[in-house]
Amino acid sequence: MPNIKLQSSDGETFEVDVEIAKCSVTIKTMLEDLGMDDEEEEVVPLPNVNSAILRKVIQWATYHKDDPPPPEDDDNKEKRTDDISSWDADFLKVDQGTLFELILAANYLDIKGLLDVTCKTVANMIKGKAPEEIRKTFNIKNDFTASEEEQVRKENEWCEEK
Amino acid sequence: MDSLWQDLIPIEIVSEILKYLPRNDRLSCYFVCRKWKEALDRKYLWERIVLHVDRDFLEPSTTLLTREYYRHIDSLEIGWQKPVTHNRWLPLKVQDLTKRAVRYLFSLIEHGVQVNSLKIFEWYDVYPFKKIIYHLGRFVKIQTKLDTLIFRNTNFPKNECFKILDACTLSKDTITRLEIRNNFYIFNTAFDTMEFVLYLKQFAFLQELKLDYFILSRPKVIDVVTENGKGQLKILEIYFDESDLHSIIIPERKWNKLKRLCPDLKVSISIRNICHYEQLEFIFLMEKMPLNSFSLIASPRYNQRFSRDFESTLRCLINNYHRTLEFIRLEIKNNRENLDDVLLALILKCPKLKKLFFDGLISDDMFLFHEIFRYKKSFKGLNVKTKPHRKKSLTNIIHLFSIDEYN
Repeated sequence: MPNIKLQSSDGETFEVDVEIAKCSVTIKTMLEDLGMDDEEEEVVPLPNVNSAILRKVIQWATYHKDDPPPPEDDDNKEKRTDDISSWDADFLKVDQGTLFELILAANYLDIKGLLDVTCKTVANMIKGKAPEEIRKTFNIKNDFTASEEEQVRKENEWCEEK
Repeated sequence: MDSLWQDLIPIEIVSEILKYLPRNDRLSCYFVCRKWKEALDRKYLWERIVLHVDRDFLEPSTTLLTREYYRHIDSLEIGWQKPVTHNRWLPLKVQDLTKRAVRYLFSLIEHGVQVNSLKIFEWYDVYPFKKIIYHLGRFVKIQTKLDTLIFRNTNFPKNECFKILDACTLSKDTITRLEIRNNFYIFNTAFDTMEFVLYLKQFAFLQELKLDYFILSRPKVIDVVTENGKGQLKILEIYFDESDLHSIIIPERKWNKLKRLCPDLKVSISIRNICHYEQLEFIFLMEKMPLNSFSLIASPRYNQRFSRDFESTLRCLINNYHRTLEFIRLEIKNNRENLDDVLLALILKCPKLKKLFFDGLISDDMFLFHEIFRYKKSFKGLNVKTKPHRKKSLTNIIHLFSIDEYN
């Protein structure tokens, strides 16, 4: 299997099997568009991903390289979040900052499987929490104005039958 | 310092996360901050609404969020998580639950919500909730672009069921897909009436019709389907189960007429929980059916006194329908007969066959697969899964295989 080199934003180079790198649609199109030859020692620059995150992404892609292609998004199914494999769950036991960077990287590199599983992980962190708890968990400021807040509060009143 | 999940996160990723949350959690997110609230305003988060009356009206999220995002709704499904019977405990008084559901439907009507598809599912003892059905009827009445109408286990009392069909006045010409399927038909005489036939008749532009055989075999139903279609009917899916064992067969001349008037028609039949050849025989008496797709899912339990005789079933398929069959699905698990030869015959004698899915026992896989590819070079792929099989009757593996035609 031919390898290609991926360069992270901080200049570190990673040598990866082409097939593994191609799970990223972004890299795949880049290779196709540029018509990169296997012979050449091209380096694919990834200015949006730092080396720590790129290392994690490659680790994820290597583990999942033989997965069958993900089924087409079936909107007829209710979205589940309890189907994260134990390997992925372990892989995603990271701090919020890393999880955030992984989502951004999955989004930028266009790796559907990784984006799905990271988004599901965040969704699981939200489930069952009240708005104030969510803000606390994710360090979010309440930026509604007082009058909006009042309106929001009114809407939130599950006004029983008048 | 900027917050990751508020300032730095692209809004589309917030939407992507919200996609995985049920409505009650989405409501919490609605109140978190402006950006998250804005991220909720995406069509793909709301275009398909599934309502369980006994779940979604216990807390406010569904009602409140629908008020906010009703314009995104394209498809509505309304039903119950569990069948309601007289004795079933409900967390709310019947009248309170009814009130909330009615208020919800009211707001849909008020906003003039137009959907493409409506599915009504799992309604059993609905008498106490007939007010909801009345308002559902009012909602249907304002629909002008309904394309798909589905009743799945909608055991409305006679008149209530027809209220919904009757309400399709503005969309009777836009409905191209109709499905009516139930689990049981005991005491169900609604489909025997002229009324039902008349309501069916109003849908003159049907392209897809999915019905239980019980309904299709009622008097006049097939005639209406035939004469009504104006040749547009393309797909007729028929479902068989135990309740059809003593049904009347639809005579040959009716099938012939249907074929003549709807030349593009493809019939598919799906059989569940019956598997003895003696039980299936009556289906194969309808030789003239333009059978395109055949699916048999045998129940794991069966009467040990009979042989299941899948071989005869498959021979009938070959003899009667080999010209038209394109898709075959056989889930028969632990067959005791050796079906290798008949499977091969099935594959070789059906010229249009595109896909075969088989879950059962094969005695000589090397022979079978070799022969298939010798004669059917057009098949693109063969997926074979093997799993250990406890009863070592024919062989110690079960084969799950499917073949696809190259296209």
